[in-house]
Amino acid sequence: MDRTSSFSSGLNHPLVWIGVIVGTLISLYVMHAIWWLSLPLVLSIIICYVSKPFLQELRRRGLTQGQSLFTYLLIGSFLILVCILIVLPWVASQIYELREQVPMYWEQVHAFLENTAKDLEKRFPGFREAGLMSLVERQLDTSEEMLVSKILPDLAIYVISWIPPLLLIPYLAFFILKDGVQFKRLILRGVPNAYFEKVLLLFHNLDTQVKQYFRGLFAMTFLDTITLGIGLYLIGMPLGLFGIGQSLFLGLVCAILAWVPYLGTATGCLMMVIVCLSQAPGNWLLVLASVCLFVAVRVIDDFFYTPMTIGKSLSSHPLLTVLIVFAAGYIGGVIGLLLAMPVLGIWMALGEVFGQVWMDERLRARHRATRQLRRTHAQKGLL
Amino acid sequence: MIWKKAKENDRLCETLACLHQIPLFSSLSVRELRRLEPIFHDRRYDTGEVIFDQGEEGLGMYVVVSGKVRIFTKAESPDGSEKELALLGTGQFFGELALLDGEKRTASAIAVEPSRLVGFFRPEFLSVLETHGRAGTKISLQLAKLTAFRLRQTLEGPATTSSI
Repeated sequence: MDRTSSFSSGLNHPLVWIGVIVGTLISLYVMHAIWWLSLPLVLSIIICYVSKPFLQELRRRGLTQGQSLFTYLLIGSFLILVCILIVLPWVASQIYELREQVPMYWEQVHAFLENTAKDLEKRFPGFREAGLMSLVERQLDTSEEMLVSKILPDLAIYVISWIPPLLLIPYLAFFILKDGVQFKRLILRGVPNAYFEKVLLLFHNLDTQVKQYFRGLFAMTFLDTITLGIGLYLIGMPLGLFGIGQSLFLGLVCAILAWVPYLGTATGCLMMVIVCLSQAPGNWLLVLASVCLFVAVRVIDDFFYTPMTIGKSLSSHPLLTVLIVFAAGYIGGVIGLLLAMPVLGIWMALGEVFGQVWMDERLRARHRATRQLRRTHAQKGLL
Repeated sequence: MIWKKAKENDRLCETLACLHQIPLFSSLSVRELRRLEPIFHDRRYDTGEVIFDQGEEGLGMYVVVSGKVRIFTKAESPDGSEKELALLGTGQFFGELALLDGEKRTASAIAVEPSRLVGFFRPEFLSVLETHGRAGTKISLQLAKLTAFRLRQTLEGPATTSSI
């Protein structure tokens, strides 16, 4: 086994774990406070990790760092152009189609809740006395008003306000790719001699882990989109419900939602059920088929895609994961939810580094001895 | 600022000249050595400072740019007596086998006078093999030659400071 890729027991100490959790939450809070900088920075780091194999390939073919960066920039600009000309119009058309269907979805949800309330009132007289039906109607009217007058305009402003910070991404990514190694050296230069080898090894492990996570995440999103898209297209085919473009778009949204562990998956499943119910009201077989498809994709994810892509790069206890996700959502909203796992992973790796160095008595003793030696040399000839 | 830059350049030239003298990097061109510069770590040690301990996980090799380094083993006997294996000076190197296997160090290294060492470590050596195939192959070949030489020495004569 390659020794450089093995982590040992740095995370065994409860204090280290507390540090990891507190560090994750504080980072998410700070990132949320300066989201206009933190979001582009995180996205540029992700882009750097995803594009590194390409740059390595160019350098393997004999190009210098400058030449490979220039080639990368040229190809990147071309891809952005293609994205603007082809992919964005497609996404916009899909969003437009979905927007057209929103009133229909809303009516279906309205009818479903009203029918359920009526049914409950019929079966349990207590609900009729409590005025369940009128309460549901009142709530639905308020929600509709809120949706039209506040939520949708706010959402539009929120999305538009994201555009300028996102323009920072190519700029930041270029400099991270260009000077990332120098930055790492600068940090390592500050590490005392006694800890140097261990910190270097753990830095390498951290880098491998983050690289594996981000590349895996992208690969898994792609695989999930294809599987869910084709699956949705097939289950809707007998009724002529979804076009292939629409199915793939829904698959993509569900795959991105799955970046948020447990919570995102459940939201994706719920969204799919609502879409199916609104496309074919009362067709419970279709709903069942869509839920089965979702469960099947999760199983394929867990048994095939995850080991193939992300592996166990960021494995933590499910309870901790859920708690961190909820806390991240509370602290940082949507950005917090999406960044919760990568930030937790980075803090776990840092905790590993700190734990291993901190618990190594010999290294600490060596560091103390070196400091003592330097103090003695500095005091030589004085007094 | 310019003076600082010039000083850094002098230090870099000194380091690269020293590296070019040792067998592992002697077959590399100056250009190749310059390209590998980001993965060489310049470290300074005071007299009596431990560089690594016997039994510690080995991560890479060190080249002595200036100063002196003592290599020794500790006996397992209760008195813990030490046996000196070598006293290395400018241009000499130690710990090269850790680049290949990352196994535990079989001896300890300590600076016996203020020393400047350049470290070259396994994770970065592996990335050199990935990104700078030509330079990586040259270093690997030299490493293989060195290992063969040590093996021959061990079989034919007394043991040396190999596999630190």
